[in-house]
Amino acid sequence: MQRDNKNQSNARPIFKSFGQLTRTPEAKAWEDDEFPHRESLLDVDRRDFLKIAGASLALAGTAGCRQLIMPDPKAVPFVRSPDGRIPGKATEFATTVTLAGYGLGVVVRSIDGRPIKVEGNPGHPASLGSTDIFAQADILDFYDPDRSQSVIHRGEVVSFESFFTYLDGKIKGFRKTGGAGLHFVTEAKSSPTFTRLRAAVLSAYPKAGWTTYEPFGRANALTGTATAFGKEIEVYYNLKGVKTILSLDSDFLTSMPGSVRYSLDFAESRRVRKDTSSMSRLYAIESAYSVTGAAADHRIAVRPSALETVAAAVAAVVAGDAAKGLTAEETLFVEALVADLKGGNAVVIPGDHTSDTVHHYAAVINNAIGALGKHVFATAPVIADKSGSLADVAKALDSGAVKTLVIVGGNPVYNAPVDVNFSDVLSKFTADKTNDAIRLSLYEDETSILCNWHLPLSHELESWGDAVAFDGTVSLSQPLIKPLYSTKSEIEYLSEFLGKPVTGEDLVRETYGAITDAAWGQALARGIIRQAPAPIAFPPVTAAPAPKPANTNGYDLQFRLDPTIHDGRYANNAWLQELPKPVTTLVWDNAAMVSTATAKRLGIIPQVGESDAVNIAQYKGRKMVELAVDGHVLKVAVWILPGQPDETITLALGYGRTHGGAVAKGRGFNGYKVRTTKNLYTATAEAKTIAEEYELVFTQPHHLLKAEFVETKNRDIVRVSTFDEYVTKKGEIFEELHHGVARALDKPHDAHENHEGEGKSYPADPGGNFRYAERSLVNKENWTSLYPEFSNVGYNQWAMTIDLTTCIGCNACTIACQAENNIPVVGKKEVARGREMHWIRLDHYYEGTDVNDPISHFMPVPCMQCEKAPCEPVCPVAATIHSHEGLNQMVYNRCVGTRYCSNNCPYKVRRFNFFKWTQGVGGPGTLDYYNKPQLKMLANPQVSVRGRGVMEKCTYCVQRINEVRIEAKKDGREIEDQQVRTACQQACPTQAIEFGDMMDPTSKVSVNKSQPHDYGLLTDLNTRPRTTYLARIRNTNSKLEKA
Amino acid sequence: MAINSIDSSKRTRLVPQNFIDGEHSYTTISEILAGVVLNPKPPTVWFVATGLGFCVLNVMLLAVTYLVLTGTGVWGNNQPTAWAWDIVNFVWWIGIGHAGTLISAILLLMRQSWRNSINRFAEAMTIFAVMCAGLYPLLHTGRPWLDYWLFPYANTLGMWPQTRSPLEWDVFAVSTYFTISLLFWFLGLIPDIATLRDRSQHPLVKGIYGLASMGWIGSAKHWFRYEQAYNILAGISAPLVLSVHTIVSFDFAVGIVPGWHTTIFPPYFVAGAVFAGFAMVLTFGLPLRSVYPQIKDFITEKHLDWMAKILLATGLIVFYGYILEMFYGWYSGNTYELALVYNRLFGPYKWFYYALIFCNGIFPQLCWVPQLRRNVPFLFVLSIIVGIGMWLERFVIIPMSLTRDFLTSSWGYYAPTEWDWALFIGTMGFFVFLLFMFIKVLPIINIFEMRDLLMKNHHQFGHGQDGHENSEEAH
Repeated sequence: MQRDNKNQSNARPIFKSFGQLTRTPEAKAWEDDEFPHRESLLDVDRRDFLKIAGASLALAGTAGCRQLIMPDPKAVPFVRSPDGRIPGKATEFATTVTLAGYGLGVVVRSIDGRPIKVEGNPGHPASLGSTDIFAQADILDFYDPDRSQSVIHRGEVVSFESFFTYLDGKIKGFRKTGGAGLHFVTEAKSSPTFTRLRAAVLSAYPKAGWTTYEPFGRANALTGTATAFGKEIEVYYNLKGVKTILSLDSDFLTSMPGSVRYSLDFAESRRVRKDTSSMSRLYAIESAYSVTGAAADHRIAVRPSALETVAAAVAAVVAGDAAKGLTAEETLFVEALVADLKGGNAVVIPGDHTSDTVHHYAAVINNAIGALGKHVFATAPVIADKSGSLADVAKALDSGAVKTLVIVGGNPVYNAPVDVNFSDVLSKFTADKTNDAIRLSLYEDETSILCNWHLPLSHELESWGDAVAFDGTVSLSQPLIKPLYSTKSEIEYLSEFLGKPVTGEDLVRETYGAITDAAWGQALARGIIRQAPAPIAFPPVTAAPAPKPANTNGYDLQFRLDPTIHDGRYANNAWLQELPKPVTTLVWDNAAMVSTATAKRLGIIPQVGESDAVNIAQYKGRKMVELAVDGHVLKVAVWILPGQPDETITLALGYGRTHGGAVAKGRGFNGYKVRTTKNLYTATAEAKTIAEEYELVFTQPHHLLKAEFVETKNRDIVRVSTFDEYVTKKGEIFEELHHGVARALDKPHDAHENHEGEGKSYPADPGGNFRYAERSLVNKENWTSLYPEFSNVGYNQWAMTIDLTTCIGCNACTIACQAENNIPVVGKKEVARGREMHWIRLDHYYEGTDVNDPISHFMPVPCMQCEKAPCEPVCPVAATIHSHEGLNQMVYNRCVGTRYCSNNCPYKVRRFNFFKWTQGVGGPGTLDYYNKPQLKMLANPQVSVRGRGVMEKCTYCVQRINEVRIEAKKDGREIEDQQVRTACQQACPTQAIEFGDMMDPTSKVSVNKSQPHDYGLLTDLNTRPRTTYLARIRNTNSKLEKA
Repeated sequence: MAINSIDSSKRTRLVPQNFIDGEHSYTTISEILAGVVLNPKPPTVWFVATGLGFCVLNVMLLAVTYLVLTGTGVWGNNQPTAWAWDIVNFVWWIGIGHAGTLISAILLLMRQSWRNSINRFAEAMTIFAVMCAGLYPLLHTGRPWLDYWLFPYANTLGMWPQTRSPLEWDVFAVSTYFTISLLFWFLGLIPDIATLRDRSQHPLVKGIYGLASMGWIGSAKHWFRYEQAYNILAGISAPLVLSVHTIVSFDFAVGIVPGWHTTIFPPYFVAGAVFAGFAMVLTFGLPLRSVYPQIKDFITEKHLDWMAKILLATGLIVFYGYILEMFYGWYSGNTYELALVYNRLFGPYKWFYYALIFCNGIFPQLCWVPQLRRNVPFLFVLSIIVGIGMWLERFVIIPMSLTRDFLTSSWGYYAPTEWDWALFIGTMGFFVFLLFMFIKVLPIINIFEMRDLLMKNHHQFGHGQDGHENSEEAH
């Protein structure tokens, strides 16, 4: 105040107006107002207000004149539409996907120019129409928003041109020096084009080096054949007509090249129908619990280090000698097994990760039992190049012999053996500015961030290529779509290195010489360009070396491929991360698998207590151990897996990623950190329990089905019998479960007999809509009901059967369903809360009283489409209703989400959108269909993407039914059997799932349903399920039956 | 004389006792009861309780907002436990409301004049409890903004609700219940509101009461019509006591889940509801007596004794239900039912079951001791324990049964989240807030019924006599 006064007193009184001088309130207001005389809304009178309002309204309409003043985005319709293109209609293209180099022929469904779904190529010998989980999940990899999209040079995004300018300079230098200091490290590649370009590069730069590194390849198998036959050959199997299979620690049903085909042939040898008189028998000698072991009729668990001894013992017994170094139980097993092996049509399959000695023994046994050339075949090695080792590369990098390193695919920084120390070597290498490390990769991963150039690779579905299958068949990859980002394929990059860039198609075509356009077109349409070559004749087998004695101190630490994310290459695939791993049902993590005894020894479960089974059931998967191998240490969570050999810790590789996408990052434990060059597959490890905790998440609590738990007693869930009983009783097994009612359908389809020959007209409904308790395919037990029977007149009646005998639990159905039906991913935290969304889940049950040696049963559970569905009457808004074709339909738009249907579903197949799952609310790594443009393209346009708060469930792929029905109606014909194939059925490698019209007595599903061992799940609740199961028949050897 | 004595004994049962303690005249009754409302300075406790209720009410609003914005997933519900605390609390609140209806309707029709002292606030509790209960089914849906689809309304889709669903029956049962309870309560309030109108000073207050009293002048015609209407509504409400909880129990009994699919549910749920309701009347009535000591003359120890007896009786029915459930499970020989029995006794939630048996089965047996039935601290503890017990009963039935049903592969585990707690505690705040607002605005005890009772007492026992021991003689 004082200062103001002072100022005022000092200032000369200057004024503009008299009001200012007199300080009237009006003048003060005038002065204070920033914009005097402005028009405020209050000053506007009524007429002006209306004028302004009217003008605003009129001008609002001018928004439509946008393109008059703004540039008009171009959307030009096809002037000439591509041949056969009908908007909204799916087209299919044959192509090839690879896994660790091996090709699997697939057919990709494309709608409006974007690939939607991968299916098997029926003409490709590795597929025969089926796929594995990886091929199914490839579509998500393709649209993965985390995929690398740009060239990165020392952490900065640069243009392709700047790389090519750089490369041109380099190439000039290489031409002068003959490529001295240039070295390539690639992942396993079978592609003939890639091989051709590799040769071209090496001939252009003769001093350049080349190394192929695959963390979990078939090197041991090849070395094994080299010692057994004197040369490296690729061994593959033909399981057609096989009677006895011995798996020597091989998971040939899911994790070998050719597994999809092996599964089908294996299943064919075990499909039990009414008149079946023979069935193959699978013996498994395993060091970990695999899907193959679960499918085996007889299985023993041995330590991985004891495997050579057991293989040698089998060979000895086959040769007529005595088994050495086996326990009494093992001896009994081997003797029974050898008796079967000698019975003809037998084969021994060693696991890819087993030592070369085991492979040698397998060759010896296969030779002795006459399997070579009958069930075992040979071809030239599919992965042609296996030169060099990563350790040599590291040395060369360190010594300065290499100045330019090109890493094509793979991820050596992450998955190199820990003693190679590739990460440190590479960072030291790139720290020197005169050195260059160029990385071609799908993701900006652990290796990319240490290289100074990162170049984005095209995905297989958007690039040209070719690949060799397990048996030598060569098939083509063609792009389904222009690359989503500006990326190039490996072969295109290689052609850049040659200094003469060529397009992918030309590169591939050039490999096959002078091929006519017609022949090329035909090859593309079929997918296959070269049939499998005639098998190589086996050279004589040499005697196998003596087996190494089993490890007796410490634990055997065994590395395996992860069942869902493989060696880590699928770590950024949210579908595969959330796919429950077979047997354990773990998701989003790996864990150290230990047996009950080992768990006790490690202090994971108490030594005493109610019983081991109870202790295991109460173990929540939180404890951790510290593993130490040659001074390398890893902390890892423990999971107790009954059936695991004692003193053996199995650890799946592929987890513990630090870069390479939001999904991959920071999940599970990196097994590569304790994997050394010397012990790639099995190491001797120290283990001790540590105080830290970790939360493992699984989808299914673990109960022994027929163990001592009162609660689980007598539940008729999985029906299991032996083949002997099946044959003796002519399939009329489980009579005691039919509640004294005479067996229904003694003469299957007698109702339809009169109508045969009349095409496919359906019988008139004999008793109107109210027929009581008629025996039918869905009511074999003849249950009576107060409610009217489902009227099935005049419509296709869809039904499904699932053969539990041939189901191997590979999960392909679950992932196929996820891809087909836009099923969201919810993330680890939400799975822990029991909110996973899979429409078809794979239940796993143990059977037996011995927790150390239980039998496994898998049971895929989709919606049963009950004729008297308990979910329907309880919905207050009629959002779930029955169709005329017997589908229990879910009307998403009508659903308010009371969840009563889910409570009342005895099969618990309904899934609820607790959150906006499709908007990625489940946490990092879950799929945001709304905000990620790539994922918008992923969704199958024929299936609604469900919003928050609605219930969903299996629809029997109603969109596929409708698609086929529309075509049939257009042609004025009935839908033929097998024209409608559900996603799960189509993917199933063993064809265990059958789907069709059960009113058509000749349909495969009807034939299956009239099998004597077909049964419905929980039929005593009178639900009349349309999905039924064929009981599991095990071909056990009576000599090995436990009392 | 023999006939006479029978008659008089019958009569004794109908109007047995003097239910007003102390010396009272019509004026004192009106002054005391209307004074609670018209007193310009309510006791501090009132401010504390109302303020607390208001704060917790805001927790509820927060929980509701977050739920609607985010999704049902904020709760612990999962697969297989699609219903958990949402429905547990719904049933619990609905059950609590039952005492009000029972007291007001059934006891009125049975001419239990002792109910006149407690019916007003019991009815208010009914209404508030149904409001809390109603929130849950509305909010538990995945898309609450579409809840109106559960109501039959003409629409262009031609879609009607699916009337086979017990949830649809719930819609009608609960909404009817709420409407009738509200009408019944309001009708009973009219003469008292008129009293308040006549006694209040402030013109605004007078005006509001005047409007709410609907022109009541206490004429004989008014009284006649009032009695008629009140009895008719009582007649309508009486079956509701049975029907509402019966239908709520159908939500479970109609389902096929082991532990739900039981024919014993309707009677056992109704008894449970009355049990819980009376416990809640005690939970609030007892503190009310200490906050407003002047009403102790109207809610006497005799009332407490009688309520304790009803608690004991309904508790025994409920306990019988528990025993039979277990017996049926065992006797059926059905795999799933046997497993259910096993799961309850030895499963992961066994302590909930044992706590339930203690709270509802064992502890209320202490009510056999007459001294305890009049012991206020004991009754308060009992009422809380029964409230907890009845909540546990619903927990045992709903999520516990769902976690273990038919396929062992689908078994799960349920645990509530902080948002489950927030909403549950929030509804309690809502309830408390409404109840204390009610205490301040409307008479908690029926004034005219008290005066009527006083009149009857005068007739029966003679003026000024506190002589229930000589009721026969007085006649």
